[in-house]
Amino acid sequence: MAQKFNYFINTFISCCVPIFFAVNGALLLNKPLNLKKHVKKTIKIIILIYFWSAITLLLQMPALGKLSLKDYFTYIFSSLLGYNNHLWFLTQIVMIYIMFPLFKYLFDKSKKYYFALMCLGIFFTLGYSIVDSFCIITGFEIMHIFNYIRNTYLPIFDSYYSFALVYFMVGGFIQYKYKFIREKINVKKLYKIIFNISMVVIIIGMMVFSYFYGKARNVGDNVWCGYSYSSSFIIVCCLMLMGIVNDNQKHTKAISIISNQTMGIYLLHFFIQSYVHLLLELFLTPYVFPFTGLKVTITLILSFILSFGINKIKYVNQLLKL
Amino acid sequence: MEIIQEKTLVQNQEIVLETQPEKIRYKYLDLLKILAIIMVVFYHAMGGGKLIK
Repeated sequence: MAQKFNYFINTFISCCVPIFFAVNGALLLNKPLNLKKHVKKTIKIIILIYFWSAITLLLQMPALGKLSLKDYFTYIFSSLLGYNNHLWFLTQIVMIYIMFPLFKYLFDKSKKYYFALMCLGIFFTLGYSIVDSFCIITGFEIMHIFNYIRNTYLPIFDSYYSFALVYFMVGGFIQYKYKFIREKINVKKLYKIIFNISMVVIIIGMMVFSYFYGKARNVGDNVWCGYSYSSSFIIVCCLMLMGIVNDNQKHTKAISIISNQTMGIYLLHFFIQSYVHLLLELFLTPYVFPFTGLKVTITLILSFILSFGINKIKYVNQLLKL
Repeated sequence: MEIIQEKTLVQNQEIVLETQPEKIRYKYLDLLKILAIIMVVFYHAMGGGKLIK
């Protein structure tokens, strides 16, 4: 039961990074493109990736142990150690930004073709887990056809990280329909639909989980792997729709301030949590509730304060801004 | 004279309408970002994502 509860929590958490891609798409696709500014921004992110990779590794030296200078520089350019692994998000942002002018052109020119491409993307990346589970449970061997079509005709969606592009596209499209969703969609009806979908997803998820667990197969890290699962996609869409129907556009200052620090927190929290972990280990047993709760709270607060402080310093604040 | 003033007013309104979408800040997107960052920190604090190669 505890395993299944963890599975449920992790499935929900797996929408965390996809939300960032969707929000990015919502903001970028719905405003005019300034190509010169966009190229500069993309180059800046590439520089930031290596800068923060170097800083994160340097500040985690106590946890890394002895590391030669040669190894240190090697690991800056790779995520083999796993201590700078969170930066994969920025590498995917760079990939999306390189292709962005093409998608923006399509988005502005024809919403119909954009929508068609987006649906194909959803099916061939996020729908993979549904088709795969269907094949495993029923014994139908159709994955080779699925893979053949995707690899031959839609190679853009044939990568482990293709889901990032799909979330970006979906975020842009949902934001484009903002007015329509607010005016035409009945809130009560929407919640009913979301509730029903959630129940179906949970039940199917439990069945698939039980199947794998029963066969003693490794379910794995379903946050990391879950980014490309259909469940994450449904959660992201539901959260965006619920956000839009409840959006009153009256901004409270606190929300704006915290929201402005999200990139800073993302870049800083990885090494801050290592130190918080070392400190808490002196008093508590790791990975039990009070430990994890305190670790999350302290890491969030410290990352926020540090990010807020850095953002106040002129020029230096560029290190935390995309 | 009145007609000209009205036209200028209409033109000004059009300019405001055209520039508005860039300035609007959507509260729900900010809230989503906050929710996402809390989940990311929670995931990493639980030890997730570290050993994936």
